[in-house]
Amino acid sequence: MKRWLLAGVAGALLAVPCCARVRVEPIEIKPIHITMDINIKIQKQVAEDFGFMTEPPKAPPAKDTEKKQ
Amino acid sequence: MNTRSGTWVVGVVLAAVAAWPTAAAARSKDEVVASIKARYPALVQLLAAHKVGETHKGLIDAVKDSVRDEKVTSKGKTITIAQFIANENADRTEYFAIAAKANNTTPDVVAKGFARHRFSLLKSGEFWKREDGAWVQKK
Repeated sequence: MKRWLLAGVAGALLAVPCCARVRVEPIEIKPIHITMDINIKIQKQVAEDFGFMTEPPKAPPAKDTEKKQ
Repeated sequence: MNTRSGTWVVGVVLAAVAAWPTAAAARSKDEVVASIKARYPALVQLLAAHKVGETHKGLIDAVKDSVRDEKVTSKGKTITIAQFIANENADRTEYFAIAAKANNTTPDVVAKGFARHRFSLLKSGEFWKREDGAWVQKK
């Protein structure tokens, strides 16, 4: 009787790890997309509004502009 | 006119009077950008002279406190570098707010984008203020 009881307990203990469940949470990609979109949009907007910053500085007009022959 | 509607009229008039200076002071994005553009040649000179630098917040700052009282000519007026920095930062902050509203985001996001743009345009040797507050020269 005791043997049967021990065997039952051991069997139950061995069965516990077999029932382990791993739950995987769904990966959220959407917010990353939105953040990237905003950053790209802002970068474009800034480049458009401040395009004058990328232009080379205007050289002062030369005093003698006539061509010498 | 009963007392209730009279109170309403007084309230609306007071609100309009209170809002008037704000409405008059608000500038369009193009006006703010034009103001920054007009100041830009002086900014380029100050950056090249290593007197001011760009910061990670999209603003400018004096590289050394000792230069704050020095004079600079900008938009046809001679002002201190401290005043120049304050004017430029006020314009930039206004731009960040306008652009943020237009793009449904926060001024911080616009400021970071602007800072990236400014960093990319800095020339070798010009100063950049990092997030830890340290000034570094662009290589």
